[in-house]
Amino acid sequence: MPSTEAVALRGINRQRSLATPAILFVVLLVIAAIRGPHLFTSDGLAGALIGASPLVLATLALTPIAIAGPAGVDLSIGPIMTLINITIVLGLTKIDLTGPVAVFACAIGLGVLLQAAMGTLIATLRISTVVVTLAVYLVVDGSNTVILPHSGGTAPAWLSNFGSASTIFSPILYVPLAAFVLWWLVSRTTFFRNIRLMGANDRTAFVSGISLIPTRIGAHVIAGVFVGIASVMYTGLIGSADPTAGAPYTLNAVTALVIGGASLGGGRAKGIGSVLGAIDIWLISYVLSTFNFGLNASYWTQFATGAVLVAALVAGAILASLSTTRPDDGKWLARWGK
Amino acid sequence: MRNVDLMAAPVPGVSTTPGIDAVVVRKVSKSFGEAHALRSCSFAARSGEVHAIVGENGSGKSTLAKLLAGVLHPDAGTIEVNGKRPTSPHAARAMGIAVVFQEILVAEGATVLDNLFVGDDGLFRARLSSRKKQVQAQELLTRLVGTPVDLDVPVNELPLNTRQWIVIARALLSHPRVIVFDESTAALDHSSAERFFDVMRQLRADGVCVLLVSHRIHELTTICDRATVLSDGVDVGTLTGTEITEVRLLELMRGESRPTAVGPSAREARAVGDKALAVSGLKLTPYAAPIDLTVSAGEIVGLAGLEGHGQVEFMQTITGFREPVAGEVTVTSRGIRHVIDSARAAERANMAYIPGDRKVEGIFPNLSVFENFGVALYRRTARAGVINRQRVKRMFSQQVQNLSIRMGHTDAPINSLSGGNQQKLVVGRALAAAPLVLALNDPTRGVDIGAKYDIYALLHSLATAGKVVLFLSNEIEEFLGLCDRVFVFRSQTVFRTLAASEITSDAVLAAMFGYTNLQGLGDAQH
Amino acid sequence: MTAIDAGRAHPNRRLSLGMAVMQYKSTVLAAVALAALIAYGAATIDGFWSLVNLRSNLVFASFLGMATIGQTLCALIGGLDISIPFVVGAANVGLVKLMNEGVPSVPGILVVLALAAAIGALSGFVSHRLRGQSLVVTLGVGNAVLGIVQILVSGSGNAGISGGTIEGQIPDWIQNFAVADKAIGVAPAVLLWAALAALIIFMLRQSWVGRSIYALGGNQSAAERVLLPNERLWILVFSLSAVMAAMTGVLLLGYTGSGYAGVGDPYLFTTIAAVLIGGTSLVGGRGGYGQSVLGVLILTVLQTILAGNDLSSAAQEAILGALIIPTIALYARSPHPRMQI
Repeated sequence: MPSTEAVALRGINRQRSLATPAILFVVLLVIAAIRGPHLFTSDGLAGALIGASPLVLATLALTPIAIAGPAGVDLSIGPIMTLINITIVLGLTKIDLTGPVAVFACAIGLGVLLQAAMGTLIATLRISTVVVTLAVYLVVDGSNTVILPHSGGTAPAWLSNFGSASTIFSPILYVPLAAFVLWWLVSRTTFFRNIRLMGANDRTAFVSGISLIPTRIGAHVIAGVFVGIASVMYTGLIGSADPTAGAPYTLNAVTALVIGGASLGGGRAKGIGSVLGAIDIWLISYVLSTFNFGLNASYWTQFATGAVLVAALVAGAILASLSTTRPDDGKWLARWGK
Repeated sequence: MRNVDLMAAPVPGVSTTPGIDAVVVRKVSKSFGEAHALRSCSFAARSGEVHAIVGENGSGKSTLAKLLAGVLHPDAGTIEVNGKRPTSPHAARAMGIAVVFQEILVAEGATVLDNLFVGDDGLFRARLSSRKKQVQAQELLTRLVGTPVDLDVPVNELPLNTRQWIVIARALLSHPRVIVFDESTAALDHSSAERFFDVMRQLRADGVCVLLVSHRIHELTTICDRATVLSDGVDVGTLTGTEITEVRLLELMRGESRPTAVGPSAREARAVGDKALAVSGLKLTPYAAPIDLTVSAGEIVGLAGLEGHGQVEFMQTITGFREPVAGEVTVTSRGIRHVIDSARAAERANMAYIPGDRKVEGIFPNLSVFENFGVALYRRTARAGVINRQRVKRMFSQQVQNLSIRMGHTDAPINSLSGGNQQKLVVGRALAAAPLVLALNDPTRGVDIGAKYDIYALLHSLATAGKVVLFLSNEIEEFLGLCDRVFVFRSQTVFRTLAASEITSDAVLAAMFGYTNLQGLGDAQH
Repeated sequence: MTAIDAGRAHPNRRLSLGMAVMQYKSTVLAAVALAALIAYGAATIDGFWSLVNLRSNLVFASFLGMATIGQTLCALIGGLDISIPFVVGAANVGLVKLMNEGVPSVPGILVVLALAAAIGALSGFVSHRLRGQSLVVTLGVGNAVLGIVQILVSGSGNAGISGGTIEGQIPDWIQNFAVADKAIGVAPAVLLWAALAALIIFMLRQSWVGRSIYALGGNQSAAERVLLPNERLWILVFSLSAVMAAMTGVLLLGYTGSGYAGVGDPYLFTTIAAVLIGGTSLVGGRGGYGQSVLGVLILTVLQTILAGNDLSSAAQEAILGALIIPTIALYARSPHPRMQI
């Protein structure tokens, strides 16, 4: 029998993909506590929640697609969030359907529809995810500006109040919490396990009787739900419709996904890692905002985010090579990363 | 270990009576473009028998396995399993068909447990509770592998041998009524292969129809009840019981009989030259005993060992692909002494390593037949970085003739060649650099019998021409009559060196298990 | 499984025309598409063949073409370079800053290109170690580089950057690079692109480095076994990519007349689109720069046609995106898993 110590070590080893985002989280939190203790007031936390939740939810949306692999990077998420944002602010207002139920239903429905369409193209045409989502990025991003050349409109009042909430015990807490619960439920289903197995090796999944097309589309449908929720939070954050402000979410969410320990090879990504990764990115900009960089603040954020991404990748690879004892079968090149 | 009860629980839904045709293949044809894999092939296999499918590579065996699995569909004819047709892997699974493919198909990042039960769950609910899965899986794997396996480990952290067992266990756990093993012992070491025979015996006793595709003749003669021979996509005959002999199988397959080995006379005709390769104090792992040996020009040296006992590492270390813990490897080439401390140094010393798994580390699937050969040689023949295609073409033609590689267009994709010819091309690529020392890692794995004999003959002629040939194989029979010496590895070191006169299957096998004679072997397996 | 029984080898036999068309399906398709677009443009747009239009098209194509060199090489080796727009922007503002600080233009450009080479080498090195992660590695490196360059550029007073823009004295010769030269008829930038294109195509076809890039894109492990210098090739390819991106940034400086950090933004996805539409697979090992040139020309002509029909750049972007999927679906579909068992 292995000792309890060995079991515990093995357990830690199993969670090693979370080591980098977790350590980064703690470090950033400590710096934030020293430099900007305002974060830990009810007001500060509320600001953090509304500021970080669109990215957190967007990263969560990318996670099932990354799991479904291979190279499951969804580049379209920024423009799609923008499109939903425009639809909520302009479309729903026009037909006077601005209640929370209508907004969530519309946002989630649109997210699911677009993601399911992409999933269908990827699965049935067998084109890589990067190519399809890149094409959709261009189509939707272009269309957004055609539909709405300049930012404008106002979000439904209840939604704008999200952004100005001064206590954490409000929808800005409940919506992400509900999303996490949903994620937890979904990720425990056998269907989700099938997505994971397909991502790890689609041929193995296929010969074992898993139907690949519905499984892949299913991964995108799950993503669509979270894209929808992310878009609602995003609309609450900016309070209006903006044709271009959502585009950066693409690269930010991909960055958060990878910092969170996801492997773009497929099969390996964790919801908790994605959440941590996204929070880390938000914390980086929060921490940097406590320094007096003035106009340079955004440059420092860009630099730090990029540097942390590369550092996280390298650290993850070193951790993996340290803790894996690979038996020989041709993969003996156990130097880091190889 | 003998006669273990594989299926402790009674298998629900299996009520097949021995002797009834479980698999009926009627006039099945399947083509891939212009290549006909199967042409009007027919045969039947019964429940409760081990039925071999035999034939050279390209004779259509693997295609048959894929048709049974529902992976492919026949162009013409029907395949029926207990009266139903497998239309997809999903349907095949529901019909009680399990196929263990030649390639070890596992989901790399996923745990052993998930790998064992992939495809077993419903859409939202698992068929078995997690607890039941654990128990069933642990019980079965422990029996198959011989030691308990941690079910929560990602499967890519396990050795190849164990992964092969996981794939077999996955098939067994689906409680099949028909099971197909397509070259499923390729990655198993010798003691595992014995347990695999036990598995098949047990399945036969349970009334399962076992279809066995194999190139290993002794497997067929040992265990099969019947054997259907395919040649060029057509069934050319079915042998029963004692009719299944090496000579009869080869006759049917090729329409001619071949010698079983190059022959001792051939080996004696080779003259042994100067010392060429010297290994001194080489340690593969920190606690392994050091290896000291020399090999001379004109020798063919066999490398044997149970999987994981260091023979592959040894081969990679002497060719510079792996750093030794301690010790030195030197090669004397054209009077110059080279110390091998990197793959580049090995190249300078005229050493060549020919990888084992050609799909993983041999072939460039995107390149043409010729380019697959050329990329390895462009650099050494380039002038100012610009390649000399004409010169490489001449080298290519020479090797194609030398190795009798059968192919269509040189610009056609590499996949248009059969496995055996791809392997020959990989060997030819290394030979074109005129190496002094050749290290071949299981060059005959998954190669048809005709090509195997071509490779044996090639190794012999290379040695005759004064080369050093190191030949790693998982089939002991291949050493007989071919090798001058066999190094048997055990615990990361050379456990025993067998001289030409001592090389017998029994002696090699005994040494692999750590015995110097066969008397101990019986105990080793308990 | 698929033994083609074709008897003994005929090493010198050429492929039949039919097989050649099949093998180069994507190139044939791209060429046909380009011809069709030119015909359509000539028929519907006034002044399509005018010298002014052709010249400006070619200048535009040469910028995109140069930025696409790197993306093509990266795709061939099995990677993707997301850092191209960041390096274009960084080189663009960085050079203005250097010249504002008194560095002469030629040494300034050399410094910028050398720094780009170093940055690319870093991307290539890390990407090679983290197999298959070049997309995120270059994303990180690109952001870090553009971030730090903007911080450095904004350092000193009024010569600094504001809103991503930096003003400065751009020497005439850089400005003239993008302008049609009276003596030669086209802009020097176009000639530079043509020369580089010829060089890259020759390198890919006739040098051992080029052939090795294809081999690496096909099978990294096999490449290692035949002793191709995998790591150095990755470093070389990503270095070249960054240098070409920086060169594009320098040329764009001449074209626009002032430094702007976001000048490279369009090149993130258009370089990938040009690579894809030309017929180079993102998986690696298939395609070439000749195909990418076709892709660049297709995009350029398409943009002329769309602009000629009074479509905004946003609408052009949307239409370009809509064309990618059907194009790729024609030739770059991966095989069904059933064919890979």
